[in-house]
Amino acid sequence: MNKITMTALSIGIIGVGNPLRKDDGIGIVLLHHMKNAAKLNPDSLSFIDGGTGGMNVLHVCNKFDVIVFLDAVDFKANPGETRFFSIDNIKSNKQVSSVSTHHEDLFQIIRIGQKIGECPNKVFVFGVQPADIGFGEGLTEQINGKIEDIILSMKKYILKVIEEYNN
Amino acid sequence: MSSSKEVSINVEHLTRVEGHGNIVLNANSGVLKKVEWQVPEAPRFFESFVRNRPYNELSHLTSRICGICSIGHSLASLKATENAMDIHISEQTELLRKLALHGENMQSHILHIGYLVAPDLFSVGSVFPLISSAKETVKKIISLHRLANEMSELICGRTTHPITLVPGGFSDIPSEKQLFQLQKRLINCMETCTVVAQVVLDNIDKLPNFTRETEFIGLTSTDEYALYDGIIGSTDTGNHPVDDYITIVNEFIVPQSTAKYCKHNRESYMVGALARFNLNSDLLNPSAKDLAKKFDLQPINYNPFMNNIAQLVEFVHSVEDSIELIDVLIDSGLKTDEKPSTFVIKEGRGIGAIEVPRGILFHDYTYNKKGICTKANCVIPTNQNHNNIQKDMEAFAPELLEKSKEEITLNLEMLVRAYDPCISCSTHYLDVQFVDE
Repeated sequence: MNKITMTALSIGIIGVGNPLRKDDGIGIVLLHHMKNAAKLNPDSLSFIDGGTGGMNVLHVCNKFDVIVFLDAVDFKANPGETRFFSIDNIKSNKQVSSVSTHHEDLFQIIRIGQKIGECPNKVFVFGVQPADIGFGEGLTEQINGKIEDIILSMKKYILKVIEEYNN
Repeated sequence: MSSSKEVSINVEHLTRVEGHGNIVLNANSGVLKKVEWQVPEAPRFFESFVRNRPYNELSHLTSRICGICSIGHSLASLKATENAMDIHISEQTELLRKLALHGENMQSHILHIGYLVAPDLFSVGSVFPLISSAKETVKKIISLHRLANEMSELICGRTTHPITLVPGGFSDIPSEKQLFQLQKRLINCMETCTVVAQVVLDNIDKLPNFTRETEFIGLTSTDEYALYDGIIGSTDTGNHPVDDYITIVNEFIVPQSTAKYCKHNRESYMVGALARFNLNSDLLNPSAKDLAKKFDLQPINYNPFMNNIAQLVEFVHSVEDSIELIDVLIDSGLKTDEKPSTFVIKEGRGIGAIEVPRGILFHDYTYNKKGICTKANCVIPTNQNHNNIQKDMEAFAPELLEKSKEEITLNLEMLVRAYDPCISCSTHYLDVQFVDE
């Protein structure tokens, strides 16, 4: 007997940031951690190094039904604190009306993409409050000291996304 | 604006290649007192830090000079290294490199026309308001940009800063199936090109009708529309060997710029798509020639704003030529397991010249017997254009003085933008300060 299954939605995990600007590179660091978490990764999950964003992000966005950006986000919290929110939340909730630290137009580009059908409606951001985004390789000690907690937090949220959209 | 009023315009941080540029204008009673194109960007020392590095690192290091022309910098670098060490490449490598260069040309040109110039054609400040007013056109531009990006990624291993281009050949070669798929997409995109070109044509009156006679310099060849290879051509002085490039570019310094300026037969010269068109238009592919006719673009055209149109024409040429190149690659029996040419590391000097989206680019390296770089010189297109931008401004500004400050500023910004200095320029161009004296 044929088993009836729902088609899983494709999920894109996109790390954004500049590893040459200290904590700004957290999105890329997290992307690699997530990529290596094999048991979390169904086939419909893709991992993209989005670099420093810009209009090129649109060229990968249209390949997915759901997107999670991993990014350094300045939401005026303590370094290492994390937030998980949808793009829609930024519109409605002033408390998280923050912008990406390196590309303040990233979210604007995503919204434009949504408006012209080049980006899915389900876009989430896992953001980490950076300590320092000045020039320099590697994360600051403040962020490195909390990296395990940050990774655990990220995995928890991404698992929720997988459960909701990929099963 | 009354001509009796003093006008002072200061456009600060009008960024260009990898930094900033300013426009300063002062006029009194309709008389231009000063107009200056200033480049305050700090030097980047690429030519210094490639010294003492081994030959196989140079193309990767110098590709970082630019985030848009990284393929072109890699290729110029490889050509210089290969010339220095007598490394010969296969026909397949040359075809694939030409394909890579077309990919970059398409990427860069559509980005410039679609994201940076289009807002001027629609009289808006940036590409963002166009989403509402010209949604379908923006979608088409994005689809062309995406195709060019993915083409570059297929051939070069990465959209930007290629990794498969190595001395003597390629470290990885796309499959026949992948090339067929790319070719199909290129064929399909021709219709999109026609639609985008029509939109530009419908708004062509927004480009100022300004001309100033100047010299145009670029690669030229009797075999093809020269991009990957050729000799140096000048609309003033004819052809010159690449080895003579130093006597062509004649770099010099000026007080208002940290970037070097250039001049050859006249007080300045221009490089880029319009220069290439003026030198080589008879060798464009048929669809590109047809498009040039639609815009009444004929050589020698002295309107720098038509560089935008020459880019559009070149985009179509690159698409059409890429379709043909893939045919040749497949018909010749694609060898996906072909290794880079073998060679012996030796001392010597080599020059690589190539056409990148913004014009002719030179890399010149000297290596010791261990293949370590001991001297490097890179002459990039935007630097060759600075002097021409300055001379254009000096000729164009007096024609603008009866206009409002906003219009003067916009026209001067559009002039710089027509030279396509760099992607990061666009938004900063709008950071304008006025000071009424």
